[in-house]
Amino acid sequence: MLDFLVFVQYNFSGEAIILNNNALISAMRTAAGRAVMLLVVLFGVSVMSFGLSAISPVDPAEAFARRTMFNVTPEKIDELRVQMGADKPVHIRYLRWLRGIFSGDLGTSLMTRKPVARDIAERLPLTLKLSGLALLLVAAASVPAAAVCASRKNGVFDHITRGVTVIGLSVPNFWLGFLLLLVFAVIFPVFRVVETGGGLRALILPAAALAVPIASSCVRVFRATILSEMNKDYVTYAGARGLSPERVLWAHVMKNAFPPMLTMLCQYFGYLLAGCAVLEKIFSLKGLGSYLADAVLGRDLPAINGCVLVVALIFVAANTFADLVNARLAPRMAHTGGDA
Amino acid sequence: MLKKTLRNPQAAAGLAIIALFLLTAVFAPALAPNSTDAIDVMSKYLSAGARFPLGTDQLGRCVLSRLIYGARSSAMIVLPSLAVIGFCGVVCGASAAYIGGAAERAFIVVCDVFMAFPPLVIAISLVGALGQGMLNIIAAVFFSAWVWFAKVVRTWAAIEKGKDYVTASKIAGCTRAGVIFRHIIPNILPQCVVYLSTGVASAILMVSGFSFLGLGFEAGAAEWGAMLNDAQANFHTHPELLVYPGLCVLIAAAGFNLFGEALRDVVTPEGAGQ
Repeated sequence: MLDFLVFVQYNFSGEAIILNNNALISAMRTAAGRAVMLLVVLFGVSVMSFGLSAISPVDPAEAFARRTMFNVTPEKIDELRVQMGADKPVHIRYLRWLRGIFSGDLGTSLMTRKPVARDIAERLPLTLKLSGLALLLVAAASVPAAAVCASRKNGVFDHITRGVTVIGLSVPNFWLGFLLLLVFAVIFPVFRVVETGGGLRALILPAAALAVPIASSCVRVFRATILSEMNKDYVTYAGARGLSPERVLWAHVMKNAFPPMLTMLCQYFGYLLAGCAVLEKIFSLKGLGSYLADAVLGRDLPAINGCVLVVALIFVAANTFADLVNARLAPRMAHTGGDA
Repeated sequence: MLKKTLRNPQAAAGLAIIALFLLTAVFAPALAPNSTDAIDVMSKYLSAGARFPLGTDQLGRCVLSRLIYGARSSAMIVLPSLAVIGFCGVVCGASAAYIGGAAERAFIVVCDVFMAFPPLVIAISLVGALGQGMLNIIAAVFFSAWVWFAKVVRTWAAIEKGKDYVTASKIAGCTRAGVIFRHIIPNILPQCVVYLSTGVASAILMVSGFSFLGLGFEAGAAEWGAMLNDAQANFHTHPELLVYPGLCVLIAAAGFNLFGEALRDVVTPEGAGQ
């Protein structure tokens, strides 16, 4: 009875890989089991968020001092080390950090000298807007394109789309951002290179650059989803009842293909979020991504830990949300969410 | 299967690009017309000419030579990373699926924790923490990506585990390791190659991304992402310096993607699951 499903997993660039239907074994989990699992993952996430920067062989105090101060003296470095708490063993620092999280304290950024939590709260909305807009673009472009490709399989449009999506999957999104700037801000000045005054206008080009690789991946997966849906008996039946192919596609097939597509879009949100790290630098946007990039460059450990934690939490939240939506829209699929 | 792959025009195109990429990387010293880091402020921003086929950059360095060495930098990071990812992923994933029980559950927890982070975020943080150097970059790429592969391998291996030939080999007296390495892994290898080929493309993009931010490679390295970083300051006056390295990344990644996808069509034909 599960043969109507397309089973999807992702490779690490977010490109989806479609597996055979018989991959749907095991992976049956109860709600309680999932909740426990989520807690375990969240704990692991906190350890990793902290550990990613803690394993550095470089003394953070010294590195930071050399980057930011003139006349670095050993005394200054020692002072800074105590101030950063970097003189304590790593597990003490972790526990201290973990305790802080629960009271909303992520430490003080060495770059901005403000609380990391406040910096993040200030910068997160922009990044969420940017990723959200990119996600809308992805959905708006990939769903219709996939539908047309699937309905005219191996037609001209299908072949062209296949070619375009290979390029879309292979293009570095930050480079695409530059090209868009070059074309739409320098050659045809529709936008300014640095859009001021906020608003959506500043986000259109970066969102487009962010969306292209993800949309390319989505078109492919959605096409396969729709195609597998079109092989079902109800489609043959609808055709036999005399419904036009267009009507069958849009009224029946798309309705059934919608839940898996929505799930996938939710899961892609995390990738869009990560892509912001590089794109925000190019478009001079003061979001979480450029904050993380600057923090990494400046070895600002509290800021790195905080950003990585927040991104991971949003990523986990998006995936959990996708699972829940899935369970609600397509109860038959609920058992498989854990593995996808 | 090899023949079938080679007859596929898409696979052939992909292979041609991959071959070009690898040959460029291997023979970079012979191919590059000039030194990559000979700074000559008198000849900066030269346009294409006989001495500098693609002109020079902001320090008067030969752009073509730097692009050629860029292939080498890229290959020297990406290929070892993917080799390690491939090895660890196949061994861990297949073993977890076959052994099952607590080991498999622990494996899944580890995967889920790693997969809670977008790979680019892990890579950027790790490269930042570990600092410059080839091994550090390889480690960062490995840690950001290996579980994604290992988890897919586990799923594939779990499918194989239920098949009759595994039972047969167990009855025939194969050891655990024997079943995993002689029977299960050879049977999932084609899918793994497909995954790793598209994985190389992803890794090329990822490496260019963080080196564009100025992470991983030392300043002035002949690497495509680093070249983009250098070129962005003069984006208005010399956009061509920005176009070339990006194009190289695009072509190299497209080669591996084209090949991987064509191979996927050969390995798992469309509709095979229906």
